[in-house]
Amino acid sequence: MASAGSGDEKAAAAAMITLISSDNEKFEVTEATATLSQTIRHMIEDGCTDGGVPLPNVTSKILARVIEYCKKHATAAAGEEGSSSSFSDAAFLEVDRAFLEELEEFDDAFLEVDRATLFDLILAANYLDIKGLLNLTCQKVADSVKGKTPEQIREMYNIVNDLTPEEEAEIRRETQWAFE
Amino acid sequence: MKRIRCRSGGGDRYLCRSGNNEWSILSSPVSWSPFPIHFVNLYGRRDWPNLPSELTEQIASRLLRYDVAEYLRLRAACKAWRECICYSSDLDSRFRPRQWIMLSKGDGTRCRFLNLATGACVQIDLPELSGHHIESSTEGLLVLREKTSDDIRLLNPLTRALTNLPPITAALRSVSPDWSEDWKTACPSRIVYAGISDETSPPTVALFMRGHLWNIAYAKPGDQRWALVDDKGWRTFPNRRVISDGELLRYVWYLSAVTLRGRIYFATFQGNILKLMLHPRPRLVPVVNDQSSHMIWHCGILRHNVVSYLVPANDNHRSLLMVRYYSSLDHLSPDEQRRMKRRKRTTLLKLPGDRPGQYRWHQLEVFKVDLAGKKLIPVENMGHRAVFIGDVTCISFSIQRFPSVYGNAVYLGMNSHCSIACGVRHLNDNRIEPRLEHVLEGGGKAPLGLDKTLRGPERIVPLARPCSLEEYLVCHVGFKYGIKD
Repeated sequence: MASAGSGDEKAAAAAMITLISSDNEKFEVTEATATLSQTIRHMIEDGCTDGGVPLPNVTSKILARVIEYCKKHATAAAGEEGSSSSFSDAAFLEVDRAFLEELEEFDDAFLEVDRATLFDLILAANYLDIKGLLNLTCQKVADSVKGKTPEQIREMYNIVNDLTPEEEAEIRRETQWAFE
Repeated sequence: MKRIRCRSGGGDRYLCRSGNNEWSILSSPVSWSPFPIHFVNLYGRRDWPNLPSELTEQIASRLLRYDVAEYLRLRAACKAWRECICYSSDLDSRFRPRQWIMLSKGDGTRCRFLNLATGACVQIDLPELSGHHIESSTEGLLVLREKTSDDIRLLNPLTRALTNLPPITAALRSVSPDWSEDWKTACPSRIVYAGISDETSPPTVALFMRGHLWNIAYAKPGDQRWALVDDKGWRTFPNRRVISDGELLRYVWYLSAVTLRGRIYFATFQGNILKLMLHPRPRLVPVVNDQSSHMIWHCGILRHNVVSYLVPANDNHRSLLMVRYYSSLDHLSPDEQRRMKRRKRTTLLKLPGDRPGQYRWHQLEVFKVDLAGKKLIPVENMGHRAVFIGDVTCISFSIQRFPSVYGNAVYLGMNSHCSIACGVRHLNDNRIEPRLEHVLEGGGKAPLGLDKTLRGPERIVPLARPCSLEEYLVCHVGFKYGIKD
């Protein structure tokens, strides 16, 4: 893709893809945005996106969020590519840093969601194979349980303690401190 | 016809597209496609325990990068997570509790551990300790020696993984040979430091032993015996001829050891830094070598008036600091001494002498170790970090989690070479503070510095209880067992 001429790139960027959520809502996105998803990228490469790409695992609510993420990150990626040819090194670094900061702020705000949405975003990111989004959401879960006891983790994530008394006793014998 | 294989909890399903562009879900495979797709319950409560196992693993591995304790807590939440979040029982680098230190030990096998990055403190009962001496620690692992067999074991206090290594008896004999019975009583051979190198697989454990002589023994799990780092040169005291040959580096007096990014570094008294390399043959390689003039002749005897300590500089053990303490200013010319004493910003310590109007001068310097550039860079400001140096171990941490401890300050550990001078050195205004008061457990006055008669380190205790965190920490870096609870 990277070796393609700039004319081809522009044509590719302009191409629109239709994504169809599980509740049959249609979303028009640019190919650059859609191909942040490796799953969709492969579909495009295989030429099977005519008439829209149905995503039976993703609701419109979640798909809208995922597209929001992809749009932002696709723009950032395009901006970086553009800047490398038209700026001096120092200016490039400056632009680069500004982009990264803006992107970080966006990511932080993007993750301000309830746990159910977070769960759906993780599954959608995994299903659509969007590395950045998967890393971001998994990190969010990891950060949220830092310093929490197993009991607090269960409460946070509505987890029923299904350990047998024997298993529970074994865990407590091995790592009693973890419960304190 | 296009087919995509999907996975879900209840077996594989397949997303298929027919010629007329309609998609359908089939429960049997038609042919292969490389895209993994997970089916989810779109309605109702989110089923976190049944998150696809590779996603749970990904979340867990992110926690593990942060701290093994968090990883183990996540694992204890439910059956599904316990099954898919595994942990190894060997020396796997990812599971070492680097941020945790053993703060104190109770009467039995109950110990208190402190996380220097988060401030978390837990009590852990370690029955594995019974019948063992705690010899040292490295990367949060405790180095145990079996009391009768001298078998060495590494214990991970959080995962409780126990790694067996051969007995150390023969290697210890090499530092106090049979012909030196007198020396044996005066200088009993002992293990001073441990390090763990990920240069080999499984990792190699190195023990620095001190007795009449100095030596480094190394072994990895499965080995029959400890081997010695073969470098006879540094086993004897240096003499004037050797120094004039410029070979002083071969005659190192180790003092401090740190494991950093899977490699072991030693600092000599003088401040040279050596790295233990295992390939192609185990040897010591000089890393920073510009401090060799810091030994002085005193009444015809060569002695060191300087002690250098290596300290991990941040919470994830990725860089190093060196703190160097001079017990006198003999290494400086009279001119240099005069100039330094006049300066406002100085690394000198001025303490009252034996008589009024008389002063004793010491020097305390802090450096950042530039391993790539092979040099030391003076540090005037450490920001929020507090450094504790001592002859057993050295630590540093951010005071943001520990507001009762001074930041940008060096604490001098109990029972260590450096503890003779004072208790705390503030870097921002050169202020010094007296040592925290400690007494012998029997009630006598605690000696200021190293005392040969003080064999059992647990014999020194703080003057009053309960102890402050500072008291715990100055004892932690000076005594193998820290304060006895």
